[in-house]
Amino acid sequence: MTTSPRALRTSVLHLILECDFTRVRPAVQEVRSFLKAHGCKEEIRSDFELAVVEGCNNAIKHSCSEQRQQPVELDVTIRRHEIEVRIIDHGPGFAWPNDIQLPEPEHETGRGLYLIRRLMDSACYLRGKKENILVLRRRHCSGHG
Amino acid sequence: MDMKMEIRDGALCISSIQQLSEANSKAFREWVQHALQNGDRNLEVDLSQTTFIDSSGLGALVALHKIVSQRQGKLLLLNPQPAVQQIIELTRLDQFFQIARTER
Repeated sequence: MTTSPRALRTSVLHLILECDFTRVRPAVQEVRSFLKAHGCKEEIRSDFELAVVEGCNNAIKHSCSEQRQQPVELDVTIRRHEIEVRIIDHGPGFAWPNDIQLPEPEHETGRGLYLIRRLMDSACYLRGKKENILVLRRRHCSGHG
Repeated sequence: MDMKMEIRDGALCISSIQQLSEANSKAFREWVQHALQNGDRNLEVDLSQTTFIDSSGLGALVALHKIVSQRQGKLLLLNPQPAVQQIIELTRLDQFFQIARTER
């Protein structure tokens, strides 16, 4: 893990995690701590925790065993009025639906993207040949900056 | 599985659940499903110590709900913490699960 100030009023955390579900929560706990250290409220921290967990889980799920040799990267940027998290993976990615609906209660899957969309102000999925990036953004009004 | 399981008043009761996430939800579901083979119809899942749940954890609870419903049993969620309750409500599963808030 490295933490470095990139520019005035901007703080950045960069994490690399193995493509393993058991590594997700410890990494996201570091994101939580980083947000707390920069004055973000509990509600914001909890919402990012769940959204980032869902994003990382998706990145790992859509990787084949060969691609799981490559890590998932997390970039957290705290700006004066906005927090941005980028989740970068090297798998084939998936088609981000235009309209994210909550599944029927009896369905066991399909709630991850819905939670991400509800918890964040914006969620943008950039699918590329070599990497995919999920960009999560949310406004905040901490004392940061 | 680092959780507690006991039979109480004819129901299979699961407690001491720290989290239900992608890392443990499949094992949790299989562990409980296997225990239900002993014939208990009702299932109680104590969420009072659960500090985190994600979509896969919710999915495991939905799966267990379906299993006990098929046997004319009930799944009862006990005392979810506010953060977990919020996720259940956000996904509108509060209208699907039976949730009790009284400590036993």
